[in-house]
Amino acid sequence: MNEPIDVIILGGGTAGWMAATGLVSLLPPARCRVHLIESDEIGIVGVGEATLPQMKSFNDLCGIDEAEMMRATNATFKLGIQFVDWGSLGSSYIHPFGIHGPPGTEHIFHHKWLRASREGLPGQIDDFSFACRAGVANRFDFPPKSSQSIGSSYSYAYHFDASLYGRYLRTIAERRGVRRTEGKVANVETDAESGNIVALRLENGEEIRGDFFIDCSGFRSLLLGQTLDSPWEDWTKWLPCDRALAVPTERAGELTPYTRSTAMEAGWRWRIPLQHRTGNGYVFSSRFIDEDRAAEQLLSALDEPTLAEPRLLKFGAGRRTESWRKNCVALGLSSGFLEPLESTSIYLAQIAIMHFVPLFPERRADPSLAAEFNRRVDLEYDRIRDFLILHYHLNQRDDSELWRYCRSMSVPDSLTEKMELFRHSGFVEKYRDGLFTPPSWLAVYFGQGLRPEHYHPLADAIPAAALMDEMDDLRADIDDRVDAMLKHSTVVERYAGING
Amino acid sequence: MTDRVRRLVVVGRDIPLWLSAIGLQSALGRADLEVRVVELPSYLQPTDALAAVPSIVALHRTLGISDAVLPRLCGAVPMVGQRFANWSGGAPPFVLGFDTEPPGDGDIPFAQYWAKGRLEGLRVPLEDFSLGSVAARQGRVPGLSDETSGPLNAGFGYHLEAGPYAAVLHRFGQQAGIPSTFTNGVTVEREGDRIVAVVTAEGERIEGDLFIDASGPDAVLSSPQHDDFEDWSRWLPCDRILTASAAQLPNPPAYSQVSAFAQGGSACIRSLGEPGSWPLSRPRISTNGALPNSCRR
Repeated sequence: MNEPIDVIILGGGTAGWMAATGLVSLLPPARCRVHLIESDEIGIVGVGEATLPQMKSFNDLCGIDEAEMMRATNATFKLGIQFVDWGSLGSSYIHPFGIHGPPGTEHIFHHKWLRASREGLPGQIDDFSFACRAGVANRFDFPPKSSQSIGSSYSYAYHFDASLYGRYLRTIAERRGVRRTEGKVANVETDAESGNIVALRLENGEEIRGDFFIDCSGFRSLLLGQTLDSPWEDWTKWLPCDRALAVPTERAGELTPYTRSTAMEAGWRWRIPLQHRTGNGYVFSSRFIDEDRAAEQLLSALDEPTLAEPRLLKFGAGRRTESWRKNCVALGLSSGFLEPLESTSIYLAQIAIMHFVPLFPERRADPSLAAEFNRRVDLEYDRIRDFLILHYHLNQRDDSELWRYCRSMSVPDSLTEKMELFRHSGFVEKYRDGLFTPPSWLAVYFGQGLRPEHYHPLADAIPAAALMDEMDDLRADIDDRVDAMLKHSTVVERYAGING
Repeated sequence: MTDRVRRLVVVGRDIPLWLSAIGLQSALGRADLEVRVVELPSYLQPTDALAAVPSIVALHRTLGISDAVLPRLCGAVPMVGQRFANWSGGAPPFVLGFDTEPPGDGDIPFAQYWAKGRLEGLRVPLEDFSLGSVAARQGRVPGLSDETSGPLNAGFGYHLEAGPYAAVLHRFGQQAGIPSTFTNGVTVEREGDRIVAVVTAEGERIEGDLFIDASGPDAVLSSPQHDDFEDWSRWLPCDRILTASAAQLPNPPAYSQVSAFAQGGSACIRSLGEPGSWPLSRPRISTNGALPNSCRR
């Protein structure tokens, strides 16, 4: 191999520092040199304060100490997301980071539950998910390794301060050899013949040349969008929310180990408990409500006193059709935007890095690498898009215009097919690539009121009375185990408390 | 639940017929599903032999079929890999083992490291890092003892005599209580798009809620109005098979041999076995070959 490849990362938000940390940790120094350009004058969006369990894998892979990271970012643990008022007003369910029923029975458990429910079993399928039960009880523990018990049927993620996470990664990345330059880009120089990006010229005149460029410039998409003209695919007809008002409040008394998402008149409101404060926000559609009214609704719904004025963000759902074009890959918001309903923002940056590393190019990037990368990233976006649309589409609310619109809108065929399969026979596809395993789909289908017409015949293999006993025993087993767990706030304090 | 499937009818012949009937009975019999079989005359020849990949071992375990009887009843020998000869110019044959790839590093597969090694002078072929390939070449069967531990994992399938194997499955299905009717042919009774019954050549009418077609290329249940066969022969031009068998080899290898031949012009004969050298079963060897039309004429 020859000289290492010079990779230039533009932008020091969460995506930029994740990319820098990922490359410098996962590739040998002989392969690439990483140089990140950022400007303190450009703020970061940083609403992504809730994560998915994949975040832990990324940190582990990069050799990041969990407790240290949590202390540095005021993090708490997360077992899932609670959805309030989504399917219908007054309803509530949890999308858990875990399965329903005992490990090893995923293929049949929800069919058995459905039968039991028809036979008169009260409650929701949530009652049989360890992660859901521990969540609503505000308990937390680390999942035991390699056990087949119900007590190991979950994983976890974090709530954290995303801007602190970026800052934390910066210290790690710089320690591992990433070069950082402070400055704003004045001009992007491209090669007339190939169209490749050659260098970034900063406002102070400095020229930064590179072989490969990673665009983490946020919504501006300075390299991939503005310079290389990767087309934008608009998804706002399915995901009409285009504004968010974010407001921090005081620390919650009880730290919930879950994010709460409450459906509102024209969107939804998030609530994310951190160690030092609570993150709140209202994601809404400007087609259905104006900003003042949205702010009013948000402020009157908060559980704790505010710490600052609400901050407005504007966006639109969609993505660049090619995340890798020429010698440039876009990560995070510069490649696309999907609202944070399922905490996927940071995941999308992370998975793009994880797809990029195995496809890491030579000095001249071969188009076949870009094609494969784009195929993978497209799939990730499409899966999440469909899952988000499901939350909006599957509702019985009749109290406001947004919900009526979403219920009657036509949705992508890929989603219609999934819903029809479930509606008919309770079948959920277990796909290999992309986010969201069957328990996630089940949680939303059941939680938002879609009941299959039929359950699988195998659920009839045992007598009804035995099935009811089995369900009762399972519920009792889960609740006993949850009772024995520590409070979430206690675990956070002992393991990674910022005051400890 | 009035429109639930209660009567499942499998129409077909030989191995696919019995494997599907046994599989469905075993999975869904508990759920009040009645499986029955309509068996058509066998197409198997005495020379027919099979190479089955390792998933057959797991399948048998799931179905409760004991592999212990297979050597005696259908001449089964373990197949640890497949040796491909003459497929790539003058390159030596290679053995495809049934195993897990050696561990790489994170998302970077092992083969990437091997490719780097090649650039730096490594002369060892990739298959030497495959537990299955090396075991196959040495005539050893992995997975039968605990010696193979650690990150490498290999399995084996079987070489089987097709006719006797079908007979084993037939007997197993009958012991499992699957009712069967033998017939020389069936006609299909439809209501609109839906099959409601099959009528045997002997006049028996068998109703069902769901029908499975395991009749092979005849596809006896397929609707004559819907000819939706997708032709792939432009990519896979072989369209004939010749089978033969010969005496048993003194030291049968643990792999099947897949040899490519040139036969005039650009015509190519693909063979499942090199004539005279392929051990398929203990009592005798069998070879299969497929000749293009031009060779048959």
